[in-house]
Parts: sequence; structure tokens; C-alpha cells
Amino acid sequence: MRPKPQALRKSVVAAVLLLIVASAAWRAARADSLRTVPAAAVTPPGASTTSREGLSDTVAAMSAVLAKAPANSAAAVRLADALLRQSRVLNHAGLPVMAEAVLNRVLHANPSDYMARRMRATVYLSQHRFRDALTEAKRCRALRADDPVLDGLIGDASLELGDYSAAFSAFDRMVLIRPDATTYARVSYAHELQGDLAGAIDIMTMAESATSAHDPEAQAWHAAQLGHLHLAAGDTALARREYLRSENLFPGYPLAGSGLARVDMAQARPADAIARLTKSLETAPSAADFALAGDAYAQLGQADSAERSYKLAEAMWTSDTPEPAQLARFLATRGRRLDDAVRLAEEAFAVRQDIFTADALSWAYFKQGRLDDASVAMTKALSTGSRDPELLSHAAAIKAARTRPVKVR
Amino acid sequence: MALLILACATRLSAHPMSTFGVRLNVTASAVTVILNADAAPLIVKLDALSATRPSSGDDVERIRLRADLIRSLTIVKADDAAVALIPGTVRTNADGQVEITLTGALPSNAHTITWQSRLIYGAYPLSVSHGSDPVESVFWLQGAEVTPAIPAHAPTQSVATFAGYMGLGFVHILPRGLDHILFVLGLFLLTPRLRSLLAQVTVFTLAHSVSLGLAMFGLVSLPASIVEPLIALSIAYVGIENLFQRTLSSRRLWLVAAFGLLHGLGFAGVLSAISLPRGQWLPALFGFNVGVELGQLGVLTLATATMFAWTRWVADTDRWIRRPASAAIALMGVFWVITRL
Repeated sequence: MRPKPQALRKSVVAAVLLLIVASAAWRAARADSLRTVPAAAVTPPGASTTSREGLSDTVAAMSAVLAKAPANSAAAVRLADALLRQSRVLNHAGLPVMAEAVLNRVLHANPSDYMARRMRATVYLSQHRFRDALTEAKRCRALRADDPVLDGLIGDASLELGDYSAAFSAFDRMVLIRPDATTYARVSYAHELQGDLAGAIDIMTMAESATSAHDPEAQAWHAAQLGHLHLAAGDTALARREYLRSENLFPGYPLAGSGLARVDMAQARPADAIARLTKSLETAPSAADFALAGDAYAQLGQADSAERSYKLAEAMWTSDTPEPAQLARFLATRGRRLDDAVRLAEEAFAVRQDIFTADALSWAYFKQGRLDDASVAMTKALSTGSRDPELLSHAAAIKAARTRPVKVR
Repeated sequence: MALLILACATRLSAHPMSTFGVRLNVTASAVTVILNADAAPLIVKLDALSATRPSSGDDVERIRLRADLIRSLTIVKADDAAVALIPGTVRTNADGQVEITLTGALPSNAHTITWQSRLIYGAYPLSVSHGSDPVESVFWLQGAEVTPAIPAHAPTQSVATFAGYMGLGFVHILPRGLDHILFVLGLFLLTPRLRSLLAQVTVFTLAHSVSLGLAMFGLVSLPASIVEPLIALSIAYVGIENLFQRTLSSRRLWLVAAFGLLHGLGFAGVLSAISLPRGQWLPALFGFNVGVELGQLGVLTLATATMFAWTRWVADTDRWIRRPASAAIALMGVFWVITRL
């Protein structure tokens, strides 16, 4: 028997109303459960392995997923993560650009995708776009105020821009909410910047202990950081041990190679440093390594080779990997193109007021004989209490020159 | 792990990108390299890498004198055999950079080429184009990194783009587009008459093609937050109307046209997320639309076959199939309206 149209209409209306109520309830419950998921519970990018092969596999797999579904947020975030790690391993600045493009595509489809936005802030940091990173991280904060990762991002960007109080406050908040390897690494750096090298080493050791055994890239990074800290503390034997461990954990890790060359230099073994750097400069040239090689050649009295290396460092910092503050510090320290050094340092300092840019500015002024300006800039450079050896030697030279003025050129 | 990268990013980040840029144009018989660089640091680098004394003169002249060195550091291979490059012009471009041109003859039977620069130490973009084809492939390279093998001849780009986007359009309906599938099924379930179905599907197709085209040209734009709930509402509507109507009216056709416009905007949202290839938007757009139509035809074919099979077992298809299915479609539409709002 067919139901009457009137009765059918009533049943449909009732069913629709029932479904609306049920759906609304389900949606509210789902929203609640999403709100209570902590940030770290989201699938961790790069979780499988971060060996060279592991990173390549992740990039290939996630690229394949995105070729089929370009707006897949989880795949885009994992791909961006793997690309950033590869960029560190290979010193490849083009990879963060690719990571940004991948995330932009996802965010074009869904501008409020939180994980993609947060990863984009990380990508900006990697591209040295610190203000963009800070802005993006603060926008993310409006979406999820209790995410400790944002404190890390805000702290990192603030640190690079020279806003140390904001940076240290952010790290303090982070360590309260989420004490883990990433937080410890940041706190260690904060201690280092404030001159507490022993504390920095202890905390970096904790950070390394808290790192997954399945993450060789991160382990190598921590070992290299420990090498850097021991070298800064003047313990070259321990520094060498840590750099060798880093090299062993991740063969060919760039930080380990240049760290070992620095240890060679600190131990007055410039020929060993050159042997090591020649190999790495052939495969993965970096301006800092060219500068170091120049110093090594200079120590050996090979002026032509030193000049050649310095020129390549200068060219690289100008056009291959443009870093005006680094270039200014290099030019001032080696007494080259001092007018350009001052101009570059002033331009860099107008953008970011971190202690190393302040040191570059101070030393460039000093080399030009502008002692008062040098002293003002050095006050800023010393403001955190850093025990960086180069910074301290510059400060001592400026202080000595002010008490007993001499021609500095 | 996600956090670790943040820890590392500050102190161990990639370097900034270089100021170099390279364009590679490949024709059937030749390859042309155009290298853009800042003059001053390039001269410093060339002087450092050269065994001869530093050059003199203006920037362009000094670089021209080092053209052989640039050539020797620029490696183009065709099927693993080095291509002999000949230095061409050196001039200052509109951006104030120097533009250095190198050309080389390609063997007629070359299948692939590779590029490598030993002059650039940082990360830089390499744009590759074929002849006058405006489509460019961009590779991000680091220092002396070698490109993967690049086809020496332009692929039949338009056909490949058309086919690729047709596939995307098809899978956007089958199997990913459940909402569009239900809408098409809603049209199918109104009446068993073929003429009515054809009229609805034709109107729907024309309408969504128009709005998809307009949206992709930027002439029409509606945010997804409005379009998506309205698409869900259209599904609910056709399902509910099927419960009370069995014949095609002109009002229904107008509504289907309006709904088609909405669905077209939904398709445009998908295409925008993918982005159309520069210089290939027409085959891409056309291919996507054809893919969508094929997907719809697939849905209708499956629905017809299923209905035909059921009619052998169910006498009263209106009572046991058409109405319950329409009600389910309507309920699903309502559900989506709620969840998409």
C-alpha cells in the first residue's frame, strides 16, 4: 500500500529535522575533541627516519601524494619538514623555497590550515625571513594560543632580530609547557648567549639524550652543537670528539666538517684544516669555510692562496649566499673594503639588532677609527653577556684603544 | 620531531638564496644559456678562480674577458656527451645585472640534456624552455648540482596537459566527488524517462562549464565557505523534490542550471588549488571539464545498469528504489549543509 503524500511529507520533514539535530551534536562533539588534541599529537613530520636516504624517501613519497592531491595538508607539512632537513644537510637554500611553494598551495585552498601555517613560519625562519616568521607565528597564536611550538618560533625569530628579552621569555614559557629536546636546545643557546657555557653544555647534553635514536640528523646536529660549545669554552679535545661523533652519526654532515677544521685551527694545525676544507669546499662550498681556509693559508704564509680564498668568501657572501652582516664582519675583521664594511653593517643593523650584527658594526667602526661609535655598538654586542671569543677580543681591543688611543688601521 | 626542526632552524638554517639566475632554451639543433649575475661579486670570483692577473675595464668588459672561464665552468651535456658552448653576448640587463649568453649545437638525435654550473656556489633557479613554447620548467639547484635528465625535445605539452587535467577532472567526480555523484544521481532519480535525464544533465553541464570558465578567468569569485554549503543544499533540494515530483518541469530545469553554476564554482576551487600551468591553461581547463563530464557519464552509466538489474527483482522501483534513494540523498545533502556551514 502506498503511503499518502501528506504522511510522507511529514515523515521527510521529521527525518530532516532529526538529522539536523544529530549532525549538529556530532559536529559539536567533534570540534571539542579537536580542540583538546595537543599540538604534538598531530602526526609528527619526519617521524620515520632522517638519514640521507630516509629524507629522500620521504620527499619522494610525499611528492607523489601531493601530485594526486595537491591540497593534502598532512603530506605538504611532512614534505616541507623533509625539505628543510635536506636543506640543512645539503646547504641547499632552494629547498625551503620549494617547501614554501608546497605550503602556499595548501594554504591557498584552506587559509586557516593551522599545521601548514605553523610550518610556513618555520620555513620563513629557514629563509632568514625573521620578521615574516614572527608575524606568521603570531597569527598562528590567534588560532591556538597554547601551542608551545609557537613559543619556540617566536623565540627563534625574536632572537635573530635582537629582541632577547622576548626570545628568552618565549623559551621560558616553552620549557614550562613542553620540556623536550627542542626546548632544551633553545635554552642551551640562551645560556650560551648569556655567557654560561658550562650550563649551555649541560643542557645541550640533555637535549641530545632526549633525541630519538631514529633521528640521526638531529643527533648529528646536537653533537655538532656540543662541539661548538666545547670549542667556545676552549676545550679543543672535547670539541674534536663531539664533531667526530657528529660526522660518525651522519657521514658528510656539513657542520661536523667545518667544526673539525675550526678545531684544527684552534690547535694550530692550519695544514690539517686546509686538507679538510679543500675536500668540503670542492663538494659543498660555503663562504665561512673559504674565509677559514684563507686564515689557514695566511697562517702558513701562503698569501696568494689566502687572498684567493678571501675573495671567494667575499663573492659568496655577496651573491651566492648573500649575508650582509656576515660579510661586514668578515671585511672588518680582515681589514678589507672598510667603507663597504661599515655601510653593510649599518644596513644590516637597521634590519636586525642581534649581538653578532652589533659586533660586526662595532668592529667595522673600530677599523675605521670611529672609536666612540664602535664603543656604542659594542655595548649592544655585549648586552647579553656572551662569552663568544671573537666578540670578546673585539671588545678588549676597542676598550684598549679608547684608554690609549692608537691609529687602528 | 616537528619541533626539532624549529630548534635547528635558527642556528643551522639554509643559507639565503643566491642572486644568480639561469635560463636554458633548447631547440631541435641548439641550446642557449642565459646567465644573470651581479657584476661586482662575479668579477671578484672570476679573478679568484683565474690563473691570470685581475682584468681591467668596465664590468661588462672585464666579464667578457673572462668568458672562456665562464664557459669552462658551465657544463651542458646531451645524452652524457659534453656540448661545446660558445660565449656570446655580455650585457647589462634591466635589473642592473649582467646577462651572459652561451650557445651550443645539439646533436639531432639527442634525447636528453643535463646542466651543471661550477661557477655558482649557492642555490639558484634554472628555468628550462623548449623553442618558442612559453612553458618553463624550473629546477632549484644547489651549487654544482646536476639537473635530472631534461627531454631535449618539447613534449607534446598540450596533449599531455589535456590528458593530465582530464584525469584530474574524472577522479574529482569518480571516486572523490561524492557530493557531485549524489547530485547527478538526484537528477537521474527524478524520472526514468531518458529525455528528461538528458535535458537535466545538459543544462547542468552547460551551467557548470560556464561558471568554471568565468571563475578561472577571475570574472566570478565566491568563497568556498559559501559555495560548499550551497552545493550541499542543491543536493538536498533535488533529493527532496524527487519525493514529491515525478515529471520534469521548466522550474526544475532553471534550478538545475542555477545549481550547475554553483557546482562549477566548486570545480574552480579545486582547479585553483592545483593552479593551471602557465601558457597551458586552455588545454588544462578544457581537459578538466571533459574529465568531469566523463565522470558524470560514468556515474549515470553505473546508475542505469544498477537500476536495470534491480528492475528484474523489484516490481515497484518507485516505492523501493527511487523514493528511498532520493530520501537518502536529501538527508546526506542536509547533513553536508550542516557540516559545511
